[in-house]
Amino acid sequence: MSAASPLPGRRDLVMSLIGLVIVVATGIFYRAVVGTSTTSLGAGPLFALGFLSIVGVVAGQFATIVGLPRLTGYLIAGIIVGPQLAGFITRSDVDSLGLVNALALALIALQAGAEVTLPILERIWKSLTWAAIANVVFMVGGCGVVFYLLAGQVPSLAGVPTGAVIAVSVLWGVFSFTRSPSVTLAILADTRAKGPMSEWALGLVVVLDVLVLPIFTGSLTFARSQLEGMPFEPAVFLELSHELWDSVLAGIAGGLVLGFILRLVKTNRVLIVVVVGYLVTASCAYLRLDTLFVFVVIGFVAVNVVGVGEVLLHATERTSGAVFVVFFALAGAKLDLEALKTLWPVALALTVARIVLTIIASHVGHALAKDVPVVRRWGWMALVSQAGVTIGLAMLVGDVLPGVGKPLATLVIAVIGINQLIGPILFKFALGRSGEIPDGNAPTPTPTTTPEPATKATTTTTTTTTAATTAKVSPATTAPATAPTTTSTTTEPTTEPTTTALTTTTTVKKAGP
Amino acid sequence: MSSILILLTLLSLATLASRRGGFAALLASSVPAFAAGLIAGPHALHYISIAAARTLSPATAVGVCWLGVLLGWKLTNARLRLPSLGRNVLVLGLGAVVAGLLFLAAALLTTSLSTEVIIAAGLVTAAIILPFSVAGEDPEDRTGRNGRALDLVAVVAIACAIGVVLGLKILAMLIVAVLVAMLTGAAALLVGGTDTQRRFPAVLSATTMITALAVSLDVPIGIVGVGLGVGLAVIDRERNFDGFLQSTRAPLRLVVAFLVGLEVPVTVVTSVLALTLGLSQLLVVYLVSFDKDPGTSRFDTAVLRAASSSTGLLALGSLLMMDRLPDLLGPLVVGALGLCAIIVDILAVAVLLAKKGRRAPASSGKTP
Repeated sequence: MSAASPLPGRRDLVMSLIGLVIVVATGIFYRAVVGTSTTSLGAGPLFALGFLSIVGVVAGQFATIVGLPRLTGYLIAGIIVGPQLAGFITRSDVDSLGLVNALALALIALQAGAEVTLPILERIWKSLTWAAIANVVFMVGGCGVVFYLLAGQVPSLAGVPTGAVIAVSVLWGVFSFTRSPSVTLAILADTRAKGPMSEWALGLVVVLDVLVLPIFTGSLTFARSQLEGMPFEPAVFLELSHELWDSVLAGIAGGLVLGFILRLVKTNRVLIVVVVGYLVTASCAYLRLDTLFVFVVIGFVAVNVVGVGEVLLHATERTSGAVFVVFFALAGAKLDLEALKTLWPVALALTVARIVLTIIASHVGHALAKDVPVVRRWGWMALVSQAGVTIGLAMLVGDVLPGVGKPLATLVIAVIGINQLIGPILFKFALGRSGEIPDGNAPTPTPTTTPEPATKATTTTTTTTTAATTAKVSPATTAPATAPTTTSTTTEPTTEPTTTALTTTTTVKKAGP
Repeated sequence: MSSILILLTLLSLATLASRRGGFAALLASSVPAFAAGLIAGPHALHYISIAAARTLSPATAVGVCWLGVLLGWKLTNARLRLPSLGRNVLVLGLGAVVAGLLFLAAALLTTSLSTEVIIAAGLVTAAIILPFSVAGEDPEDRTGRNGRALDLVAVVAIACAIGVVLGLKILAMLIVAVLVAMLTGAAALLVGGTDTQRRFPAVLSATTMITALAVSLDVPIGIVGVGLGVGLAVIDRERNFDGFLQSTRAPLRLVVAFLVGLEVPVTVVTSVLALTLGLSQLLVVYLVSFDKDPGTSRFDTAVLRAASSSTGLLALGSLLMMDRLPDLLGPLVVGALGLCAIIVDILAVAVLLAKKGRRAPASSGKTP
C-alpha cells in the first residue's frame, strides 16, 4: 500500500522535540509580531501551512509511540494549535488553505481508485454488495429513527411539524451512512496493512462514498419539500445520473491520459500528479462533474487499463506524505469545540447509536455475504470514521435548509468530531488484531536519495496475509505500492472529499429554485 | 484555483526547460521567463490580470525566500577563499561606485527625483548589482569561483544599504528575522531527520513560515532566506541535502523570474536605467573575472557569468515584497534591474552563438 512509517528512535524523538520547541518559539514570535490581524501578501496562510506541517509531523511521531495512528497525532496537533485553543492559526488562515484540501482530496480519490483493482473487485464484489445494502438500510433507517426519537433534545427542532422532523431524521440517517475513505487510506498507508480486512474496508468505503451522492441528493430534496413546501422533483435524479455518467466518461479519459503520461515520463511524477490533481479539480468545477468520482475512475483506469498502478501509487504517496499532514491538521483545527461543548450529550448519544447500528449493519452484511471470519469480527471498526465528505454535506445543508440547517450542521460536526478521534484508533486496532499489519514497523534503512521507481519494479515486499485468507492474492495486491527506498514520513489523509458536496451543491441548485 | 494552475503550469514548463543543457539551458534561463512575465503581466499585455498577479504574490515570496535558502546554503558550502577576498572587495567597491554614479547620472537625466531618493537608489543599486553580476549560474560555470566570497560581501552590503535607506529599526528587525530564520532552518532539519523525503517538506514548511515572518516584518525576504539556508547548513554538515536542494534551483529560478516579471513596471526611466546598469554590471563582472574559463575570452566569461543570476532575482524579489521602500525607489530599481538582466542575457546568448559558430568549423575540419 504505502510508504512505511517506522517507529521513530529515541534520538529522532529528542531531535524532533528540540525542533518542535524552536518552531513553536518561532510561532510565538510571529504571533507577537503580527497579532491576530490579517496580514498582507497572504502571510497568514503561508505561516499556517508551514507551522501545521512541522507540528503535525512531530505530533504524528509521538502518536506512534503511544500506539495511536499518526493521523490522530495530526488531528490533535491541529486542535491544539488551531484557533480554538493555542491560536497559532487563525480561522481565516484555516479557511485560506482550501487549495491544500483540493489537492489532498484529489490524491485520496486517486489512491482509492488505484487501490481497487479488478482482481480485488472480483474477489469481494459479493461482500461489498451485501455490505452496501445493509449499510444503506440500517444506517439510513436506523440512525434516522434514533434521531427522530432524540429530536426533542435538539432545540432547533422544537415546534417543527412532524413531517419535517421525519425528513430531517432521514437526512441525519444519510449523514450517519457516510464513511471516510481518507482515514481508511491513511491508516492503511501508515500501517502497510494487507489482507482481506484491508481490501474489504477500502472497497466498501469507496463504494459507499459513491452511493452517498444520489442518496443525499434525494433526501435533501425530500427535506426541502417538507420544510419549504417545495414539490419533490424526481427529475433531480435524472440530472444526477447525467452528472455521474459524464464523470465516469471524464474519468476514463483522464485515466488513459494520466496512465500514458506516467508511462512516458520517468521523472518528476510527483509534479505530474500535482498538476493533474489541480487541473482535473478545476475542470470538474467548470464542467460540473463530480470531482471525487472522476478521480476514483482516473485511478481505477490508470491502474487496471493502462497498468501503471505501482508508478501511480508511488507518485501519489510521495506527494501525499506532506499534503496529508496539513490536511488532517487542518481538519483538527476546524473542529468546532464550542459545538461539541454545547451539544455533547445529544452528540454522544447519536455517536453511540451510529456505532451500534454500524456493528449491526456490518454483521448482517457479513452473514449474507459469508465473509471470512476476520472480516466478520473486525470489519465494523473500519466504518466508524467520518470526515470531509460529511463536513461538506453538513455545510451544504446549513446553507440550503432554512432554520434547522445550521443547527443540524453543527450537530453533525460535533458527531464528526467524536468519530474523527475514535475512528482511526479503532481501525488501526482492528487491523492489528486481524493480523494484517506487517512486522516491518521497525526502523528501516534511511535513504539519502529518493529515486523514482522503474515502471516495472523488480523488488517485492512481504505481503502479510492472515491465516483466514484463503483467496489468492492478486499481483496487484501483492505488488509494493512504494519503491523499496521509500520511508515516507507521514502518509495519511484525513478529512474527505468536500468536492462531492460541492458537486452536489450544483445538483441541488439545479433542482432548487 | 486559476492562480494555482498558472503556478503549476509555470513549474512544469520550468522543470522541462531546466533539463536542457548547453545553449538551450541559457535560452531556458531566467531571462526569457522574466520577459514572458513582463509581457504577459498587468503592466504590458494584461494576459495575467493585476488580481491574478496579486494572488501569486505569496508564491513569489516563497520562491524568493527559497532562492535565499539556496544562497545561504551555498555560502556555507565551502571555504570562502579568503585570500582573494581582499582583491574582490576592492573590485566590489569600484563596481559599487561605478554603478552608483551611473545610476545617479541616469536618474538625474531622466527624471526629477529628490536627492535623497537618488542617493538611496544609488546605494541599493550598488549593493544589489554586485551579487547580481557575479553569482551567475551559467551553464559553463557551475563552480561559482568568485561567487561565494562576493556573495557574502554583497549580502552584507544589501543589509547595510537597507539600513541606510530604511533606517536602523528595519535593519535591526532584519537581523532578528535572519537569526530566527537560522534557528528555524536548523529546527526543520531536526524534525525532518535524515530522510530526504521527510526533510524536503520540513524545509519547505520552514521556508513558508519564515517567508510569512519576513513579509509581516516587511524586511527583504531573500536575505532572511539566506539565514535559513545557513541554519540548514549548520545542522547538515555532511551536506546530504545538497543534491536535492541544488536540483530545485533551475526550475525555481525560472518560476520566480516569471513571477517577478509580472510585477515589474516598464517605463522610459527604467529602460534607460536598465541600459546603464547593464553596462556597469558587465564592467564589474569583467573586472572580477580574473580566472576566465579555459578557451573563453575574458569578456565572454564576464558576459556568461553575468547572465541568469539567481542572486539578482533574489534581490529583485526581495525589493518587490517590501512596502517600505520610498516612493519610486522600488519600481525604479526593480524595473531597471529586471530589464538589465534581459540585456545581459541577450549578450550572453550572442556570445554562446558565436562560440558555437567557432566550434562548428573546428569540428567539421576533423577527420570523420
